Amino acid sequence: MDAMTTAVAEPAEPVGFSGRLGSYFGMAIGNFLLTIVTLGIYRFWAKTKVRRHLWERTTFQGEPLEYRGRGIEKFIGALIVFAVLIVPLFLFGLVSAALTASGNKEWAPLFALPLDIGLLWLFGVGMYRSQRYMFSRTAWRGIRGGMVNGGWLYDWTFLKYTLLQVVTLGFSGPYSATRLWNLRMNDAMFGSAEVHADAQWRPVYKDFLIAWLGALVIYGTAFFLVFTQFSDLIAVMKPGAPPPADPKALAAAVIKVYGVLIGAAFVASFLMIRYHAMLLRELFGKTRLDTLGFRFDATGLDLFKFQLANIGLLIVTFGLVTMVMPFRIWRFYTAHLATVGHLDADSLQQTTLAGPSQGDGIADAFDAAAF
Amino acid sequence: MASPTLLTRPRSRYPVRGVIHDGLSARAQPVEIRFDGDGVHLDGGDGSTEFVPRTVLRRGDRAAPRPALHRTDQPDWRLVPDAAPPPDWLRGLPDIGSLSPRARRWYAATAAIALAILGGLWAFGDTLLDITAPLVPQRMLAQVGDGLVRQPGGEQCVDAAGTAALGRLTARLTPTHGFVEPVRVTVLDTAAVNALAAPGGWVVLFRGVLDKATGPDEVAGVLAHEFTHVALRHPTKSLLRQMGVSLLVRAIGGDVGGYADLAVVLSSSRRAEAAADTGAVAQLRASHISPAGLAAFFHRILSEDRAKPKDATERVLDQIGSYAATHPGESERAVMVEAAFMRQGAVTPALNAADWRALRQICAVKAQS
Repeated sequence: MDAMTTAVAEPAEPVGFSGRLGSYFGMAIGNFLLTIVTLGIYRFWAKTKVRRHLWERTTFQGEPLEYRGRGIEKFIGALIVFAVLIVPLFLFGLVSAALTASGNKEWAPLFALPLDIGLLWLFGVGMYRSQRYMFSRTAWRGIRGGMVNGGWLYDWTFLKYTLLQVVTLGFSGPYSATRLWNLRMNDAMFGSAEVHADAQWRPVYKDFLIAWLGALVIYGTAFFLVFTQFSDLIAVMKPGAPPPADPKALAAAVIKVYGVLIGAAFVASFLMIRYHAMLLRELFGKTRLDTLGFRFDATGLDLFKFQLANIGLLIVTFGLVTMVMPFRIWRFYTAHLATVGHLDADSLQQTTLAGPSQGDGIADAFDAAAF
Repeated sequence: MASPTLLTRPRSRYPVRGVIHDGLSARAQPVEIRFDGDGVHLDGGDGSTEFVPRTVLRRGDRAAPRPALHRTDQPDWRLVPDAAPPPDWLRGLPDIGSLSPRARRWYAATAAIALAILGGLWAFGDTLLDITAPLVPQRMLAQVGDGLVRQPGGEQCVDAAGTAALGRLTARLTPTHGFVEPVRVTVLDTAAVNALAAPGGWVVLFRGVLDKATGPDEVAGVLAHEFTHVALRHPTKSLLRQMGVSLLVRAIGGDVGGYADLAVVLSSSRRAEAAADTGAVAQLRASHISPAGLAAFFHRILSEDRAKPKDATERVLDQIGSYAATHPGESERAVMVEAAFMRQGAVTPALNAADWRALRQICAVKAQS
């Protein structure tokens, strides 16, 4: 369906979220304790409970979302992926360990590289399939979402763009991010309505370039510092080097090196905040569900305040805030997200796409899904 | 029991109004709902009526801010009343999450199998390793071990007379039926007071042990300990455990599982060390070497460690160490070995004086590894 014209002029309607931190916290504590008692196995059910809690309190055009996923589906999905992955990973690990250990170091990358690329490839599949599972289990007015593909094709593009990022030292970030978003979203449907995404990299490039150059300078300085100030440490790390004379001084130096590198990453990520806000506005702003557009209005300052508050809370609560982090992130996103225009609910039909029968096992195996 | 917020209205009037989402389109159909003992009567107001039997109805998520009714024969169908159904009517209505008996059996079987596997690994992990460790090809282990031995740094000590003495000590400590794999002993020119057994039959003695030892019996004790590790295939098992079991537990259990796994690794290597001590004492007795050397060596290392001035952090680390260490505390060992000392038979020194002198000088000649 083509209805570009109707989406823009109409007023925006904020996405509603009526969640309360108190009731979320109660659930999160229960999840945390059960996860510990079950040695981590409960996390599949915990994640499902979190999603159900957040979805049910989120309204979209006045009607709440519904999450239909089940913990058991996620658990079985993870078991399947695990069963498929364990053997090749084990063999790869054994072979490359044997190669490194036997001194054939030059051969080890030959095995390590395909493994790393394979894992990266799987990570991309996992992201796609995680979204596919989540959409298929999300309903609104009794209508479910879905994705038209299985993610195996998407993934070659994911791999290509990720490697491009590595080669260009991250310079292709906005290009990769917008292209991958478009690819993922254009595969999505909600009921009979198609999702269209046409996010562009050019509008966000100016903000990105400043941050990127800044980050390059920061990382460059950090690495320069490490290599000039801690040359002793690096000498010790070389294979076959004599053991350190003073292990305590060495430990102190290692902590300092990590301090410098983490500090650099920290400053660089704050430089990127303006760009990230801009990117989110572009991604959501250029996405629509049939005739219904979206608008995300968080500025760099909003995102900065949000992240600063997170870090502050992390320190003040001794990390306890991580338990309610999904809630905080969801609330931030829903507070800044609005729909623009109108969706003809009466003509919206149920999806014909078959959802996956089990959970997004790959993402779960990596423990990578955000919510 | 959680009561939906809509229940708090002063008095709900029945019939209540509500909407149906039929799951076919997103259109909401307004209806008047009458709750009846057998089901719900739905009146569309335009003459269309429907009766849904209670047997197919399910109660939606109780924690949801807006209560809804589901039906089992149409998974996408939702009935959303403006006011909560009467509590009497709701009583006994199954929740949507509750499984059908068939699904319950299926899931229970899956869970039982998964639990059996995990429980089996927990309980019989050692047995499994006992079975699998001998199956790993010797060639592969040798390669892994060769690399590991080069890693600690330092040069190999290869003085001819010292090597010959070490060979004689090794021969004396070799069980009558031999080792499960060919044992290779080497001395590394490193001041650390330590020794280790690596895959592929490698036993590495650090020069620090030779420096600290007051006699050949002490070195024999340390070697016998490491030889027992080899005999029990501990290096191979720890390699397998690291790669297999850890991967499994971490993949299924996430971060929390990782800590649980660490606990398993720590406890199992404590057991391995204790077993190596026991084996060492037995071998020393069989070789007619006094276990007093092993006891004295551990005792001295321990007291030197105690005598060192320590700051608060180190004391705390010591405390944690006695719980988390992969080796049993030196004091535990000393007690065990000294008990064995009481039962020793006729013994001779592990090496004669000339061999002992030669062994201590083994690092006079070094080879770059």
